Amino acid sequence: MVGKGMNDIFELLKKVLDYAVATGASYAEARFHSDSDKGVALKNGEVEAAEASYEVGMGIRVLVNGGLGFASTNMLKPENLTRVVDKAVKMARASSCLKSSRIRFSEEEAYSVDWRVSEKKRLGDWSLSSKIDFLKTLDKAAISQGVDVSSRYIEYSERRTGRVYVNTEGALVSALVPRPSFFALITVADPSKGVVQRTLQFGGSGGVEVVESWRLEEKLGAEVKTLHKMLTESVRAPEGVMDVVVGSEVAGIISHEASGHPGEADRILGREGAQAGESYLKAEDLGRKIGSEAVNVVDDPAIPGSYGFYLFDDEGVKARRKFLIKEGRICEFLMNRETAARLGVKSNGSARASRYGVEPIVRMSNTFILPGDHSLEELLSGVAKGVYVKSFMEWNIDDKRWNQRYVGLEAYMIEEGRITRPVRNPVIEITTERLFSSVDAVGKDLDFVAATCGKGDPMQGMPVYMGGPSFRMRNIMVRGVG
Amino acid sequence: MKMVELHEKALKMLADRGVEEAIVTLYESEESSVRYANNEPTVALSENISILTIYSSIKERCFVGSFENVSEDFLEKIVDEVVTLTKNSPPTPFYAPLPRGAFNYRVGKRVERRIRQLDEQLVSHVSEAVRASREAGAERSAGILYSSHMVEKLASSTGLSLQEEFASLTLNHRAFASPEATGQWVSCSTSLEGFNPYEAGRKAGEIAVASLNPVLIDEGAYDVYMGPLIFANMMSEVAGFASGFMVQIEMSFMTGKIGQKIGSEKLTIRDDPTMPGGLGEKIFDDEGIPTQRTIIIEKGVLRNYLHNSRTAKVAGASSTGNAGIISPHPWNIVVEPGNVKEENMMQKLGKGLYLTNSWYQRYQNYRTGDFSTIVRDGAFYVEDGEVKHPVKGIRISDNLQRIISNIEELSDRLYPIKWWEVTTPTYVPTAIIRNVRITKAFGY
Repeated sequence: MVGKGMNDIFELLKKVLDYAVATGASYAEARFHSDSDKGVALKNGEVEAAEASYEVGMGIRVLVNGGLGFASTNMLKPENLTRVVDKAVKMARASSCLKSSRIRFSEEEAYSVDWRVSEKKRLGDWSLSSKIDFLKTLDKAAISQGVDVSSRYIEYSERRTGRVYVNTEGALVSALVPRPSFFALITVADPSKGVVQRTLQFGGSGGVEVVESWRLEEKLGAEVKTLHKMLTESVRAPEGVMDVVVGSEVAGIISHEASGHPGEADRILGREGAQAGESYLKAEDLGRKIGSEAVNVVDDPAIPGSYGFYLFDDEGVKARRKFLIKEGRICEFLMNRETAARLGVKSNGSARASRYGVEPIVRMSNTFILPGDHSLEELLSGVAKGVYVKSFMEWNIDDKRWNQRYVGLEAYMIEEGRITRPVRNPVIEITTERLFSSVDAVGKDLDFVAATCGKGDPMQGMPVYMGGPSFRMRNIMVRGVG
Repeated sequence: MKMVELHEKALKMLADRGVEEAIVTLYESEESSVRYANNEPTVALSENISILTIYSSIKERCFVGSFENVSEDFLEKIVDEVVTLTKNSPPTPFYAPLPRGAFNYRVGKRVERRIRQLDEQLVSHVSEAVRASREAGAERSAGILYSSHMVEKLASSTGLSLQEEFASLTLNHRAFASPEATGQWVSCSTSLEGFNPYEAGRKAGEIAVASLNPVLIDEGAYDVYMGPLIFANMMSEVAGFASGFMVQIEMSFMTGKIGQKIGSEKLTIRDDPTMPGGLGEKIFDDEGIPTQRTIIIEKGVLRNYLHNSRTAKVAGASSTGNAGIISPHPWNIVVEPGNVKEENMMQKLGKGLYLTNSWYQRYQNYRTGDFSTIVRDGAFYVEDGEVKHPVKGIRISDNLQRIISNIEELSDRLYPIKWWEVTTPTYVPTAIIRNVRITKAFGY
């Protein structure tokens, strides 16, 4: 938080709150939020440029006559801040005139707390030249597998996010989170078979030790070999109704898209209707059966080292694990204070804002299918003929989160309980209820992938984990492409 | 005496510390918006920001960055950090000298400054769109209306000192006649005169009502009449893949295809930031080069990639005025209209599907263009040039080059489109595309 000490920031925020109340707000909150980024990328082994950015500003949210206003600025001089508050209050008041009922926030405990993610090896001590050397090692690992890697783009970034949040109910929450991340696009070519591509993303919270834990050199080399195998050896995927075992990466995207998003209470109540859409769930759907008893999905911000880590959300509410689906039934929605008040309950700490300039909205953190007790071998052993889908590239889902598609990248036939030939791009295109209802066994090999979840308008990209163990679905439709 | 502005000061400080080349740009932006759902405002938003971006190079070592809340004191610290990072970066083969020349910039760009003072009036525009959808028979509406104003000031070590101003209104409106019967429309304009929230609300409402009681259809290849929103979505993807950067990292189905026929003869796409009043009208790019009209695809043949100086150097080409310092991109995409009257497009389709909108386009392979996308909002089965019934639960699962190769007709009018899914302003006619692969989910 360059140029300002904590006390200065706190005093500035307090003045903003006082001014908002004096100009007519019944409730106000102010968030000082800074993101300091550094990054470097290699395009086909060569450095593009050193990159850095520093985003810092204040977001102010007010309730006026039951209308909600949010204003932000990065010009933090007092005279500009009062102008920004005036605008937030004026706009909230204008919008309140068209409202049939007043917006309320759920009652919550006002915490005074400072939380931070520690770094065993500080990202700030990792020099630019060391990062470039690191990326060059990875690039070398990718191109030294005896395979034609026709193109590769690899990028390392780190973000240090600082926040100080206050509201008129007495909350004061400050936080500091360093997040390293890695992205790669790898293209493997073969003269007779064409090309195959893979994007990879890693992310976490912490220091250089988090980057080391990803074992990227080993993974990039292995990915290149796998891509080459899929390109040159895969056969057309079988078509028809059969059993499917998916790996952790596919389990993760399913948990995120088919359980996490539809469980966001703002979607359920229609607030995202024009953009990210609504949900197959309605407010009265708690307890609704959506899958087999083997399906348990949670969202848990408190996983140490995770990409979606936080201990208090951006409304000052204490974070906790939420059971989205328990034994196949809808158990809890993701809520902020506004949606919780509408539903007559308390917030479960799911409000996040990606930067100072956007309002906190309902978001996932680390969403995953809970592990069961099967080994991968046990999951496969029960399948006479089917497909094992370990990774994917293409996916999408409709805006009610009912109709989804996942296209496998690394995938194999399962014959008589064993993995056999690689198959090309098996397609799973299925409704949410059929997918979750087909799950009969869940593995114990829980793993996570990092992702940037997009939601909101203005768009907010949010760091999350998606995860799960391998699991098995019985009798679902599989198709091939190409 | 003219006050030295922040970006000019930063440029001088960089030069004083040994930076050989630099571009410093100051963006001052004000934006207000009203989000709404269930026919009511959900939140009123406003943002007032100032951002300083810096490109610097020393002996082919390069830095790119952006900084906020830049006070005079803080500027010293930023400049020191930029110089250190530039010096510590290795020389890059992608370095290209900043272009110099006697540039001619277009003059006479008109900016409607009244847009920046709308504030509370935005709520009444929203109210107008909601009313129009209700009058068309829809139960409820959701959406967002933005009013944006920005000033961009650029100074460079090559002696450029440029300024450009922007203002626009964009409304994205979705109407619901039932939870599964929806319609979407937009109104986007750089002038108050061209902004029509009532019309957007009415069109969205009509599509929603026509979508009541949708039915499932068989999978297979269908001829498709694409409305402006879905066709703009496809075409903005196509133009984005022309970025020299995307081409060079093989994140594009256009890689290696200059001069080849990649689309239907009916298809001509250009990037045209010179369009007066265009939502993406732009006078100079991020390197200070005058922007230009660039034909991307002409009668189906791939003519040009979009370049900045860096990607142009790699390709042995010239900049097309599309910087992005690292990645060039289109400013204002225009698809050349055809000659079929809009009201005759359905008749030209004959039998097939009329699709109004799509979202969530994802690729299995960018290099080949294999993708799928969800069809959303109004989708209709058509026979004998007439809508028979709405359909639901479908997806286009195809290949982007195949899609553009199968364009058979384009309508004779252009629609300006910019919204959540189409972030670069895109002007498109409607289109008839033959043999589009349609799939649906197992379990319906």
